[in-house]
Amino acid sequence: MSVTEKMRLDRIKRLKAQFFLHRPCVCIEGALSKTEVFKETESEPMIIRRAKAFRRHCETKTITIQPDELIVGNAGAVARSIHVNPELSNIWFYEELDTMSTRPQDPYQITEEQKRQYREVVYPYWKGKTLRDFWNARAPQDVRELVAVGGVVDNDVKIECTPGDMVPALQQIILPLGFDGIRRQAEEHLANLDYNHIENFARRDFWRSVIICCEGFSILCERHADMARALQEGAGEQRRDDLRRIENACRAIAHNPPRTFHEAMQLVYFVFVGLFIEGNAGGYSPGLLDQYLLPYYERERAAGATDEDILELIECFYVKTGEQIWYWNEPAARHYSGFCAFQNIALGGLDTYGRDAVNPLTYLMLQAGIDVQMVQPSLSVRISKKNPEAFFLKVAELVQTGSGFPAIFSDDVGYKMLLKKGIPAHLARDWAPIGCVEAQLAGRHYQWSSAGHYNLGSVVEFVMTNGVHLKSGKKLGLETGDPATFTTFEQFRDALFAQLRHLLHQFSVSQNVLEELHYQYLPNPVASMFTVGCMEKGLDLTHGGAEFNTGPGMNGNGVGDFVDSLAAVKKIIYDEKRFSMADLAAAIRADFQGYEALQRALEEDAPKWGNNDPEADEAMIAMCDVIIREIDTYRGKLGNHKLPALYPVSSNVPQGMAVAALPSGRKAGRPLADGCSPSQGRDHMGPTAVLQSLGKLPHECIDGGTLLNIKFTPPVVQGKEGLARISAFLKTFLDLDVFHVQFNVVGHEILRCAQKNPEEYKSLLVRVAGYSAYFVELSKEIQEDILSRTAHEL
Amino acid sequence: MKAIIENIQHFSLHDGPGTRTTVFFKGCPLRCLWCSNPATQHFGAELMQKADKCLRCGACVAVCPRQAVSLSSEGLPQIDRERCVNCGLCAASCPGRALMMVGQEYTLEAVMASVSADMLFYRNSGGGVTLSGGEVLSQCDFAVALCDQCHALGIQTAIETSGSAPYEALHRLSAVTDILFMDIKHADDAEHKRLTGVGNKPILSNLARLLHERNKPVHVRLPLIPGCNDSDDHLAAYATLLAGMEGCFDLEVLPYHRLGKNKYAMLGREYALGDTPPPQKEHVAHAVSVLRRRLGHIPVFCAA
Repeated sequence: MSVTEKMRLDRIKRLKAQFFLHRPCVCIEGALSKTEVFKETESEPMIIRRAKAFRRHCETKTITIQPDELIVGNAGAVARSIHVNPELSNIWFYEELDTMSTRPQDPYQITEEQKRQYREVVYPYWKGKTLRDFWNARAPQDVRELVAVGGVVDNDVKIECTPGDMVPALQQIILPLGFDGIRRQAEEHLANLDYNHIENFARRDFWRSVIICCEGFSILCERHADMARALQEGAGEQRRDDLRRIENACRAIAHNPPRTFHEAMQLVYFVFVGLFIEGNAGGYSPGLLDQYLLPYYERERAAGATDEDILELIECFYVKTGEQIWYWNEPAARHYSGFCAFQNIALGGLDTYGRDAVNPLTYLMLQAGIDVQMVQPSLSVRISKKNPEAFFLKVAELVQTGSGFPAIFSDDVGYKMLLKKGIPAHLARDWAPIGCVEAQLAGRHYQWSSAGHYNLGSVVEFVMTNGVHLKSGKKLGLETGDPATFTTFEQFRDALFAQLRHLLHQFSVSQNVLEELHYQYLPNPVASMFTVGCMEKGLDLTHGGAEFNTGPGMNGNGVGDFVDSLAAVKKIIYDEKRFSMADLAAAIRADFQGYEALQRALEEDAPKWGNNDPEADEAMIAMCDVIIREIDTYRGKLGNHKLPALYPVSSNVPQGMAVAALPSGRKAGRPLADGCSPSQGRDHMGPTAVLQSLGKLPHECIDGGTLLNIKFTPPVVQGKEGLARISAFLKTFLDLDVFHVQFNVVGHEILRCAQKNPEEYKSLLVRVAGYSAYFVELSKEIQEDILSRTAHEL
Repeated sequence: MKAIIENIQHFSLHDGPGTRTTVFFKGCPLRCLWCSNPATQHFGAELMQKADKCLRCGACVAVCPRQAVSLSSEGLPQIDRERCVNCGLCAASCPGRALMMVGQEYTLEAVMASVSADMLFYRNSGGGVTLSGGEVLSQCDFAVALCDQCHALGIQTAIETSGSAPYEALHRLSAVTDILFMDIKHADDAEHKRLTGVGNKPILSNLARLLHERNKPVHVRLPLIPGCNDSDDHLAAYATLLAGMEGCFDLEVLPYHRLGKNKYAMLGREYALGDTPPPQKEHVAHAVSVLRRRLGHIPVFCAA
């Protein structure tokens, strides 16, 4: 019998209520079993050891099936538990055992017994064997010190995490083959190996690890099927029916490719469970799910299922994605706040050959976003003028909810980014945004879209201080001379760009260290067997297994601050000569105390990024030109081109804390501008000017990703007129070749109320640069940052 | 050719269809008690004060040639509006930007550059440029030239007018205007004069002629102001008056809001409506129904 709309919505309501009952908590089952496996396998290759640890966790982990679920599974023991990977996080996890449950941003519940086991069993084994230890031992001293001050260059994302920046090859490998199919391929490769080719030893290890991981997945599926069977006893009639469906789906996909939509959805979900078991990371993204699952949808509809039936499964899947947590140490949790794992689903756009790809499933998956409104998955759309108006209006309907979703991408700009990365044109249309805004070729691409952030605000600070980081007092920048001696704007600009190149260089060195470390210590058999190329080559991702290798993204924070500073110095100091460079240098050190008139002149009389102002736009181009050309010369371990990127996640706030006052008029410690958006409150010409300024950025050359947030108050988007307005705005967005935009629709009063009564606003979603988060789960300063962004209210 | 403009506002939502740019002309013959744009009433630049931005440096006192600025006991400048001639010297020397001049002379080229920047938005949304105010008819030559140039680029034009000008001006501007909004604020001549400073006879006669001669619809607007023109009696008389008009028009009710109230203080003026709250939704709906009953086939609507 088919489900009714009411039954579906009731189920989702119950699932959501259940979701919010879970406070994020710690699971160390995997840490314990991995420790056990590693002790047993000291003599075996690393990739085999990691594969065996994966399989052991699948064999021994607690299996949980919650009431009302149709899609099941978790990396940890229960929903919203963090699955601890000691090889990544051993040091801080040990140090923060007693504080992680009470820290302000993203706390994790932990029991005394878990703490004891971690201290006594896990920590001692991994001591000295983590990526952090290797970083400390191997990074060049100057780079280590630069990173250690915090906020100038931050790279925890590849020290504490595996590379989660990927779309697994759902379409090419997983859905057509199933786990046994993948396993058989590995077995065939192994059957004909000639060990007189020396590289075949390493390849043997890779294929063996694939077989072990497939076994792990099969066991995991079977155990869920068994649990679903066991629970049927004593269940009510309706739930018994659900559990039967779950049992059948899990049993079927344990070995074979999926046949039904339910099986496909469950398989996709288990793939992500497996990735989260293998490594703690953000960015594991389903990709172009409306295209991949369309055949299953069509088959099911032909067999009599209704859209309601399909929608219910999609919505169950959405709720589940939010249960995976990318866990973080306390300082880094401020950079990646909101318990968010950035699992990006990208809908719509064009197909491989450039035809409109919008299909009935696209609309259902958008509708699910409207119904569920959870922090995950990160819902994105790729839009093109070839897409139908109904699609634009459906996108607008999701924007109207104020959930911050979807993230909206120009399909064409993403395509051009992939061409720049060297992807052939006949493949490049199948790009998907992963994580926040990083364009990747789905299923075929190894690209660290993020290996940390560097601070463009610090670059400006260093030119004003002759290389000194004022907060720490350390000399971290170049000595470009006393700024008071710069008699021309050109001298200032050249010094600024020298600082910029220097910081990029140091950041790149830090990434090189990390690539070396991952190459040696962190093979990832699960991620590798889900990427086209690895199976054929018999190589893990870190060793170049993927069909295409690019990155890492070199991600800059504080675009608006840098541009506004450059434009302000030109106009106020050099063109109009209203104040001297000596005044400005002194004002920066004094955080404008006693220099209020100078600060006001910088703030109010200088051109600002985001107002379609030619002078500010010129400064932006000058900055981009340096960044693009400099990074164009950088290569990584596999010959991979590094990528310029300008998106902040939420790190514009903590990185802002590390920066002194700036010539833009911004005071010390304030948040930096987020992504490529204008500095907070400086976009006084309204959203059309913002979009036009953004249209002057060379997005396709910043192929690591660019990000724009625009905040609207509800009247802008309400009603049918609001839908048409959003749709029209997006057409202009396409005309201007801007890569990404996300709309935050929320009133100040609501946010203030939420600060005062967090309990009442538990599910209030807001955008924090590139993703949405539960507002009340954000720290105070990030809440304030949201409040200070200009609201385009009329 | 130049005009005095108060503001050019991009991404306007309520001044016609689609995404629009609204050009606010400065200067108006009317003095509506509820005016939400008091800075557009006077012709010529005016001094505005944003007290919270003041750095208390006293530069304004020193620079004023007419001794119109003094400091309060808290160190904030107080402007003697009787003495002030809006010369702008204090604003130019204010380091905190607490004193600023509102209203600026624009050439036609400068306005065109600003409005044509949003061309793509107009095209994609069916929007365009709206000339508002203030009273756009008071700077008719400029407005006509602006609309002509917009049309040359394929930009749709709209005007918002009180209709208070010689008919000749209305006629000329109407000819180059795609969408025309005209306020009729009160049915009674004497009340109209009390509420807006001018009588309604020339306005009504302008409307009648316009309806006769314009080959596109006219959108009549009624700002619904509590205690001023929202009684059932007045609404009945108002509807009767409009029902007697011949031509193609509809009526939009614009409920009172007080978003412009703080600007009065910044301009050193009193706000005549004090703490009058905006009308309740039910009251607006009632007013619309009263009008509809009497206007028969003439469409009456209200977006709020």
